[in-house]
Amino acid sequence: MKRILIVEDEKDMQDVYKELFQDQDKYEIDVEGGTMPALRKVSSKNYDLIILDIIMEPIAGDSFFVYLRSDERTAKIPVLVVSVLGSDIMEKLRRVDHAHYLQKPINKKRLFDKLEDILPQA
Amino acid sequence: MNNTTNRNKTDDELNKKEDQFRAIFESSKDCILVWDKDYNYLYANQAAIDHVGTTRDKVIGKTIREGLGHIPDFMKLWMRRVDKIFETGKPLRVEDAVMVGDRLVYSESMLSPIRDAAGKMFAVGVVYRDVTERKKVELMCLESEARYHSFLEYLPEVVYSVSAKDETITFLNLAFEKITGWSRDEWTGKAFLSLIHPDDLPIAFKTYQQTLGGKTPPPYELRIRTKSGEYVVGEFTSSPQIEDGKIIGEFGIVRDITERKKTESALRETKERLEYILAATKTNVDVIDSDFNLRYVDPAWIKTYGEPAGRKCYEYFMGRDSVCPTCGIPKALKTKKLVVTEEILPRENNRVIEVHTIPFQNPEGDWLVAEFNIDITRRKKAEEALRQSEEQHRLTTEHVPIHIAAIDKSGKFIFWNKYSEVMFGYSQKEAVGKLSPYDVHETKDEANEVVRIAAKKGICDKELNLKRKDGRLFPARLVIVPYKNPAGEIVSFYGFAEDITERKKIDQMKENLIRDVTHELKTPIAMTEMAYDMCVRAIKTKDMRRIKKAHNVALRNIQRFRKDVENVLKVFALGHEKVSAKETCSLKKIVQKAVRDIDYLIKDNKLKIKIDIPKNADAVFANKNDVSTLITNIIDNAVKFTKRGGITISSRSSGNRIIIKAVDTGAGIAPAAAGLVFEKFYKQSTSLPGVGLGLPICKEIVERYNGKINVSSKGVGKGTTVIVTLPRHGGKK
Repeated sequence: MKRILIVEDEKDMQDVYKELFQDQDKYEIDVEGGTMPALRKVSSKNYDLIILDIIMEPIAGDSFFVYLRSDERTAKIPVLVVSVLGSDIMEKLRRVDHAHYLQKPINKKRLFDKLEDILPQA
Repeated sequence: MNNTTNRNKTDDELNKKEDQFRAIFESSKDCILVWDKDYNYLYANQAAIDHVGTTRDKVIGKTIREGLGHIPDFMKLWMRRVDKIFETGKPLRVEDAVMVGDRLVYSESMLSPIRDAAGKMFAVGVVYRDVTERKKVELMCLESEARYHSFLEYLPEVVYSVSAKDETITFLNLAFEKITGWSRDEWTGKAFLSLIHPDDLPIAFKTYQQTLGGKTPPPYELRIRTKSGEYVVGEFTSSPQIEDGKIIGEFGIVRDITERKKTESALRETKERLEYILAATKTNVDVIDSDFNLRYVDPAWIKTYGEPAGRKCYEYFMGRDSVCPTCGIPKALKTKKLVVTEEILPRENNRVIEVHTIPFQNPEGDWLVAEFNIDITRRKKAEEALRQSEEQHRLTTEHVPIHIAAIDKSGKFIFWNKYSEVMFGYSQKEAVGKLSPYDVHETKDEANEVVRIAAKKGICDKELNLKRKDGRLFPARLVIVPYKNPAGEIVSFYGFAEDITERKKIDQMKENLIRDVTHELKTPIAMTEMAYDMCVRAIKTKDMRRIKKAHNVALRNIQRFRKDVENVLKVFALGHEKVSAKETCSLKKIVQKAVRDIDYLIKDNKLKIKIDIPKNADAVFANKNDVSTLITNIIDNAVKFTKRGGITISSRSSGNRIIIKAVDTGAGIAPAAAGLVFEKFYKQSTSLPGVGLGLPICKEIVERYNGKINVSSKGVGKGTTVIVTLPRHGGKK
C-alpha cells in the first residue's frame, strides 16, 4: 500500500479525489486543504507521493517545493503536480527533481496510469 | 754737252724765278730737289742736302751717284722712279723707310715732271718730307691698337660692334664663337638683331637707339640664339662707338649669364614653391633679429600687413609698442633652441597660430630667429569641438538615469557616474579606485563571468541581480563592453546597468494575471468534466448519493464559469456599451436573486445573510441589468471572502440617492492592497475563484450613474464594507 498526500484547496476537487481513490486497494490517501498543514503532515508521516495543485495559498504551490526539498526527509518524495495550467508550469517543473505533471481535467485512467509510472508496484 | 746745255737752260729758267722762290725753297723744311734724265742734281735745297747727310758741294753739279751712292738700294729705287716719271710723264707719290746710318728714316715723297716752255719734259722735281717722327707716333698707335685688339680678342666676354649705318655686325671676338658655336665669319656683316630672341627684340631695339643717341644704357639682358638653336642669356653693357667725334655704331660687351640665370631661377622656384606650400598650409614665415626688427616676411603676410622693412615685429603684427608678453624670441636666442608658442592674430580674425621660433646664425655671425607660424585654428576648433563633445559626453554619462561605470586592468572602478550613487548607494568617492565589480555582484563568479564573456564576445548583455551598499539585491540588466586601445588591447571594461525591479514586477504581474485568468476559466470546465466522469461511474453502480454529488459539482462549476465569462465579456464591453434603458427597479428583489444564485456557497460556509432594505430605499432608477451585475458582484465577493459569520446588505435613501451598504465578516483587505481592489484582474488571493474583475466592473457601473463606490476594511480578517450610491427613483437628476 502506497501512501499519497493530496494537497488541494478546492472542496469540489477534494471530493473528486476522494471519489477517484474509492474502491481500490493500491493507494492510501490523505487530503489537505492548504500547504502549511500539508508540510506539517509531511514531516510527521512518510509519504510515497504528494499530489499538488500548483496554485494555493498562503504558500504558492511552486514555493512549496523549496520547503519540501530543503528537508532531507522529504527531499526525495516524488511530487505529481495536477493543474489546468499547461506549458509554463511544465517548464518550471523540469528544474525540480522528482517532479511529475498531469494536466486537468483528469480521469481515473489517466491518474492511475500516471501513478503506476511514478510508483511501480513491486 | 747736252748736259751742260740743259743745265744752262734750267739755270736760266730758275734764275728768272729765283728771286721769288729761292727764299721759300731754302727755308722749307721739306726737301726739294730736281734731277734730270741722267740723274744729275739740278737743284737741292738745304733741307734735302741735310736729309741725306751730305754737303751742298757734293750735290750741286753732281749726279745721284754722288748724292745717294752711300745707300745703293735707295739710289737704285730713286733712279727707277725718275725713269718712270720720264716714261709716264705723270706725278707719283711714294713713301719710304730707309736706314740712314743707324737711323730709320721715313719719308713721303711727291715726284713731278718738270717741263720747259715747249712742254717738253726735261727734269723730275721731287718734294719729299721726312715723316720719321710722325711714323713713329703712328706706329706706336698701331701697336697699342693691336694690343687692345688682342685683349678684346681673348676677353672671356663677347665683344661686338654694330655699324650705325646698316645695323650689321662689324666686329666679334673669339668668345662669340665659344659661347654661341657660330664662327665669326658667319655673322660679321650680318644683321645684329637676327641673333636676338624674338621676344627680346623690343629691348634690343630700344637700347640700340639709346647708344646711337650717344647714351650708355644700364646693363640689360638679351637672349642670343646659338648654333644649336638654344638661347643663352647675355648681360649686355653697350655704349656708342665714336670715331672722329662721330657715332659710327654700337660697341658692347656681353656676359653669358645663362648659368647664373638658371641658378637664380632655380632658387626663385624653390622659394616660390616653399612659399606656395607654406601658404597652402597657412604657414607663414618670418625672420626677426635680436632687436625684434623684421628681416623677412613672406609675401602672404606682406599682403596683409604691408612692407616689413624697418618695422618691429610686435608693432607690425600686433600693433603694440613693446615686446609681446608671450614672445618666444628672447628664450630661443638665449637657449639657442627651438621654442614653440601660441599667438592669436587680432588683425586676421583672431586666427590662432603656433609659432615655431628657430634661432640661427647668419653668415655675418648675427643671431636671428626664423619663425614658422603654423595655422592651428582648425586644430583649435577641433580641440574645442572635442572638448565640448567630451563635456557633453561627460554630462550625459554623469546624469543619465542608468548606472555607468568602468574598470581598468587593476579591476577597480575608474569611473562611477552620478546615477550609480542612487542605484548602489556608493558615492563616487567611495567607489572610484576602491571598489571592484565584486562589491556590486551577487557572487564573485558572476562578476568574473560577465567580464569574461564581454572580453570574448565583445559584449555581455545579461539580466542578473546586483548588490547595493546595504546588501540588498535588485534585478538589473547589465551590459559590459570592453574598451580597446588603438593597438587592439583591452584596457578597460565599461558597464551599463539598468534597475529592472519595476519591469520585473510588471512582468511578474502579467505572468500571474495570465496564469490566474487561465486557471480561473479552465478550472470550472475541468471540474465539470471530472464531475461527469464521476457521474458516469456512479450511474454504473447506481449510487444515487454520488450521482447527486457529481451533479452538484458540475452545476456549481458551470454557474461559476458562466459568471467568469460574463465578467470578462463585460470588461471588454464596458466603455463601448451605451447606457441602456433606465427603469425603476426593486433593489430588494435584485439582492434576493443574487443571494439565491450563490446559495450553494452560503450553505457550505453556513453564512447568515441579512437583507435590510426599507421601502423608501428600494426603488433605484437605472438599467436593471447594470444593477443586477453590480449587486451580484458585491454579494459574490462578500460570500467568497467570508468563511464564517455573515453578510448584511442594507440601503437607505439620501436626497435623490440611494446608499447601499454590504458589510461582511470575512477576510478583509490588507492596507497595502486597499488601492488595488479596483484594478482589473487584481486578486487578493490567487486561490480564490474569480478572475479579479468584480470590483472594477462595479466601479464602471456606479460611475455610469454618477454614483460612488467605496471599499473599506479595518484590516486582514476584520471584514469588508462596500458602500455604493445610485440614483433614487423619483429623485431629481
